[in-house]
Amino acid sequence: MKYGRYCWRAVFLFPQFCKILFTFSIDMECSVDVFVGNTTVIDPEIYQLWVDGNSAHEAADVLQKRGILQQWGANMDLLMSDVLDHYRTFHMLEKTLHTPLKLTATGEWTFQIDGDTQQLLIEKYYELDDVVVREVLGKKLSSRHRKDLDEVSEKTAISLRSCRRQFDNVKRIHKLVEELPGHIVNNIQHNFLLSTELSRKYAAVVFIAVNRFETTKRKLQYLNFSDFYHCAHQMIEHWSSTSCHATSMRNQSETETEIETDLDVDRGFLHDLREVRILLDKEKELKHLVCSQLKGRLTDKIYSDMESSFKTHSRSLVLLAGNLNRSRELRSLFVDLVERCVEPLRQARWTSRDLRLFLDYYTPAGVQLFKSDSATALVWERYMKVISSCLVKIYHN
Amino acid sequence: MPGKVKVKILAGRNLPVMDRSSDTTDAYVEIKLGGITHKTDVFRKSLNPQWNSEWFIFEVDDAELQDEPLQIRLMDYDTYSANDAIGKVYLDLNPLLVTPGLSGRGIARAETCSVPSSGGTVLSGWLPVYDTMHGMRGEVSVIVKVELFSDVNKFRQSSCGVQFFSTPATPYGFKIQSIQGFVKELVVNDDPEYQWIDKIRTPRASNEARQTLFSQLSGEVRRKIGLKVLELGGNAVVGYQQMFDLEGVTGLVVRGIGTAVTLARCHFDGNSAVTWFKDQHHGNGRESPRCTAISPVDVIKPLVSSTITAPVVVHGTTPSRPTPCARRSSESEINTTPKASSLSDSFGSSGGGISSNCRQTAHRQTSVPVPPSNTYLNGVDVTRNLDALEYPFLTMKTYPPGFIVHVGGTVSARSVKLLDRINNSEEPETRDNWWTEIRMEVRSHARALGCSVILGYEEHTSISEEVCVLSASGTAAIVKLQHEVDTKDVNHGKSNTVITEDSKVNLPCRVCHIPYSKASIPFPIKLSRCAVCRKGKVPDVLIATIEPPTGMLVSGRGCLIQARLCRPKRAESRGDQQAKEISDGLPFLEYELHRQLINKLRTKGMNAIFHLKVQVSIGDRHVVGVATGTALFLSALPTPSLPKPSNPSISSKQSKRGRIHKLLIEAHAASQERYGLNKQLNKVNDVEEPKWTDSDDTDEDANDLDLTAGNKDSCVIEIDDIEDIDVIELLIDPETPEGFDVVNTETVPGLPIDSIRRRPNLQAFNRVWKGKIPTLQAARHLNRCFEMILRSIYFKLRKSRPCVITNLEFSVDLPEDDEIQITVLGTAITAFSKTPTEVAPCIGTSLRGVGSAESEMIFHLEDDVQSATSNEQAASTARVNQPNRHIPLPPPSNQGLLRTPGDKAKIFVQKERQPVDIVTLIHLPGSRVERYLGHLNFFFIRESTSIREDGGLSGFMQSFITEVLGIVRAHVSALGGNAMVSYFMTQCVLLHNPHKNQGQCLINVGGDVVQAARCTPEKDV
Repeated sequence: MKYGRYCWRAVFLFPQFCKILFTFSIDMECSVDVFVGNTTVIDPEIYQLWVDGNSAHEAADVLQKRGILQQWGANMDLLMSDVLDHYRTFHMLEKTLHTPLKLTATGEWTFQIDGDTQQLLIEKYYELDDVVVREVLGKKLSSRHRKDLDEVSEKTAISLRSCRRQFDNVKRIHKLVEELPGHIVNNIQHNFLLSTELSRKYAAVVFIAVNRFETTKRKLQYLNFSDFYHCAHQMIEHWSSTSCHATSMRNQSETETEIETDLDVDRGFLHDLREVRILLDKEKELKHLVCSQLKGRLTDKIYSDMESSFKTHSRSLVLLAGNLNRSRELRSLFVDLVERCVEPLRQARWTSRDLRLFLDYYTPAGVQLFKSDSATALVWERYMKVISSCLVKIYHN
Repeated sequence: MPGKVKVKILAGRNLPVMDRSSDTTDAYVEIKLGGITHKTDVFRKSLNPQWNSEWFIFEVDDAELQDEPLQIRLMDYDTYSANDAIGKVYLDLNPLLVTPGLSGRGIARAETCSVPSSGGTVLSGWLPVYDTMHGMRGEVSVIVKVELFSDVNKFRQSSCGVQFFSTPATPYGFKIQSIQGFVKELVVNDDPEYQWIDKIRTPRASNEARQTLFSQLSGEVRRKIGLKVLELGGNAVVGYQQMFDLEGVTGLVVRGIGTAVTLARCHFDGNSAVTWFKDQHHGNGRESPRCTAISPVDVIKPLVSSTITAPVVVHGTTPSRPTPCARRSSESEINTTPKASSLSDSFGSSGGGISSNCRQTAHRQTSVPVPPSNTYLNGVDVTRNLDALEYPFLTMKTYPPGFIVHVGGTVSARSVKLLDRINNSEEPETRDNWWTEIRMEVRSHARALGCSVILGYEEHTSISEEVCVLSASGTAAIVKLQHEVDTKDVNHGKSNTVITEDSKVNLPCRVCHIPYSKASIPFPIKLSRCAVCRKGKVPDVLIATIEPPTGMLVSGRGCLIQARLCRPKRAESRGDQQAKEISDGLPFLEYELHRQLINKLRTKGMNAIFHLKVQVSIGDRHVVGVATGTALFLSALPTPSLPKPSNPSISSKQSKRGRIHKLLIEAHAASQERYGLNKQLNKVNDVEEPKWTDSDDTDEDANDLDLTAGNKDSCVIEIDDIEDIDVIELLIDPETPEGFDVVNTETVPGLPIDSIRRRPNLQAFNRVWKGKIPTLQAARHLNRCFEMILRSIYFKLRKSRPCVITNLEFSVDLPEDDEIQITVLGTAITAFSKTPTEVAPCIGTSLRGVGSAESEMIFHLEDDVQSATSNEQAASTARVNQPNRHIPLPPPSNQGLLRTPGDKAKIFVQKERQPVDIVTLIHLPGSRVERYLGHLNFFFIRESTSIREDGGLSGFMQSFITEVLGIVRAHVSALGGNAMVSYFMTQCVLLHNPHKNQGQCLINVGGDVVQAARCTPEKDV
């Protein structure tokens, strides 16, 4: 401070010192401080901070810690002014982001943003945190639950604002897509311009919400979002009305009148599933088929357990299938799977490899027993494809 | 004579919910023009109504057509209560009234430019619906067609067909055949905001009444100016400026000034302009037949040329065949009413003369790429013509090469007036007289400088309560309008002198030479020999309000220079007393401003200021003066000396003085380094010299430059008290961060355009800042405000460096006791190019292409050194002497983030709407203006009674300006344009009542709508 009051000015003169720049704060009160460009200026870094639910001050603090002041030679006031400017823009944009189509070519004139940035804005705004979605999953998307989000925020360590945004996004997409015919992923992509990956996430959430699957029970707490995501997409792919498996013939007239959507589980299929119960009567043969195949492939310990409790394992799977046409049973699918299959197997210390092997041979064995009734065989296969995949996925600690 | 307007309302979209119970709207549309109103049917229960109406036809007088805006109002139908207004669209029909020939819609019909064709022009598109209380509320799709019947009536009231350009230069693709001179008009009216009826009507009704009135007055002023132009025989107005003086209780004054000209479309499109430019490099090879004869004020300025070389205009040697241009110019002469005041140029009437001209030029062309069109000066003629003009004012800022002979200096006049009630609005004599007085004064100043015309003329007002300061300023100069034809005759027998004079005339430094004789200088001035030609006399500092003339020798680069001053004013005085106080204080303010400006200029080591704009604003407690310009170093002028602080009084302060001196020296050195001035001596020899040597005999003289530099006068700053120390402190501007070039001219003088030309990203920006000024140390604080604003702009644009900020315009308002509002307008040109479209074709063609494109886009961004080399063009020329490495390039994360989102989703993004560029410049860097589609002038008022909820005053302003820009873009697009040039914002009045949580803002924006084509890199590099 040799120069006293001139010090900070002197610093300006030398570019190499620009990085130190002055911390001399200007106590300027201002009521208006805006910068509006013809092309809306979006800073991806600040946008991310906003999406994450930081307040303007928090965002400025974060940026300061990242060394932005040193990097660009600025002081806190400038940074704050810039952040506030961006935040106001985002605030204005938010309304438009609720209906992303408005942002694009057919949309309004208010903002001029290039395609890539538009994509970035939308994608980031609709970004989901798996932990948060897991909490939201299975809850009714009502304002009552919105109020409870502070608990979610506490639990997941994700800011409340971000939780709310995600909750609202889910709710918004749910509301719009619920009634739309056709493929849900496509619908989301078309209406919200999201990437496939993100659309699939939303599709899973909406699918679980529409079918009101039970996901909140204590026993299911160990499951994370990716488990549900996997299961939901398995069901969308194989069990829904629009799935590639042709709807059984006898229900064709019914499905034609209905609007096709892959949000609903194929009712006809569930109805047909009742036939699978025949397997209960053919348990001996089934056991024989499976055991003969698995002998030598499983460790002795597991094999003996499988052999001794085959009846329980098999029965739970078959009974589950038989009862799925009752909507209450369908809703508690995950609970049932965990209670009746996962837990007993876990007690018997099966590994997931064991489980996969078992299921690999169990399904064809069933098909073989249905050889007289090919329709039921198909139904069984369609059922087991999803169940096996889900079981393997959720069989972890 | 009538014109027919046909309107069709197609649909609406994203309308607001007007009926809360059903969450929909029952919308219908009212279309109003003048006194006639049409309505569409009600489209029930939809936010996206489809009216698809029939054609509504309005048959109106064309004078009305010019004055009245077409008003499209969207309404919500209510069965039981009064229908609610959703919002309005104001459509200025003037762009549709423009003659097709002039606008270039039909180039083939260019010959018939004076006759409005009945072909009709169309406006169609989605236009935002705007409500003064709620802002943007959805959009409406309309088609508007205008059919005009040609009017031959001599006594007509309309002036359809006269095209207005706010562009202060010759519009691209045109040439000026003759200049008719200064046109002005002034209309006075009551401000609806201050009428008694305002007490009983809703804010919305009041705002709309105001918007409508502003729109009408603006149309009326333009129509009246148009009439004058027709009377003078012109067909267009360039450099058109329109101002609203909101005098409050005493009313509202709308002023328009501009330059009436006869424009003709050039007969070659941009492509040929490029080839034609190439031809020049081939020397006198193939002549392009269309270029054989060109009027002195030629237009086609290839973008590349503007700073480096001046385009050679006259090409060939065969002028025998009368060319279209020549024919038309003579035609226009016939049409022109032979008024004494017309500065029509008599080019091309004699074949013999041209041939002699061309011989001369051809000879010169081999050696100098100087504008040869400026052939011979017939001083007698020019002065006679100019003297005859009442106001020899031109409002343009940029002139064709060779037009300006000498620049005398800046002239300005100010006058303080006390506003009184305008009794008879039909005869606004008082206001007219005020302006007449001030114009006369400016003119006499120019005469004192020995100059006949005033270029870059501007007028401004600042109003506080009942006191009004009128200012007018411009650059006194001597110009050559006359393209002397019969040189042989005039210079008969004096061929020797002709040649010497000729070479002198064509020196690039000529513009700087003083136009007056040394003996008759009305004031003491330091003169020295021109450092380039050693012949002419030059002043030590040159200050002008125009753009630097083409072809001027500039060393280093230009930079922004600004002097700011704040003087306190007693608030209690009123009326006469207040006016007197201001009037007494003004000379001191101006003197101080000038001193600050000159000292800053010296500290920077530069010797000229261009595009100077001095604004004086008066408020309740303060008078603020801000002078903004672009400082540069003209090679012709002597090297300025550094200001020297002196402190004769107290010896104890000796050390302090030393410090100050040291600071000044450091600042000087830094500036020299930064703007490449320290190399100027070498540069003149090494770089500039080869260009000019062949023709001029400056070779030996240039070596003497050091002598000139040694010829120093010292500027002494006396430090007597603390105030003076502050003054010095104010002299040293903080350094502009690396990677930024900031000027208020069109381009950065001395910076090759190429460096910013690769697909530049254009961004016009509005910056509004409003805050308090403390009564103590107001000047110091003001300075800080400005610096802070500038720095915040740099900070905002930090990620798009390297960046050029041009045409920076400041305006200061002092709305409340201790409040100051600073509005900044500018255009940022960034070279940052992310061009997926360009990469795509490469993939198919060559592997090398892919590699280079990719490396340029991704990898080099991280690598400073490499990117510096890839930008070698940028680096090589101007910034050789500075470390380029310090520029932090936009972080690659930026790109990465942009790319991460799933690519698949892009499939669903529809074809991008063509973006609309808005620039404050007269040209579009990186693009070529193809045609002008009309001048737009908008007036918006926005009011809110929920300022706090809208995110404070800042939030209110930000959304308002964003919406205004959106509306401007929509109108540009509806007219078929894709850009707006010469964008301006002349008014931005913000009123705030925090107790009522209420705020109101009023904005006047506009510009010229153009259609531009992106220059493809191959074509222009």
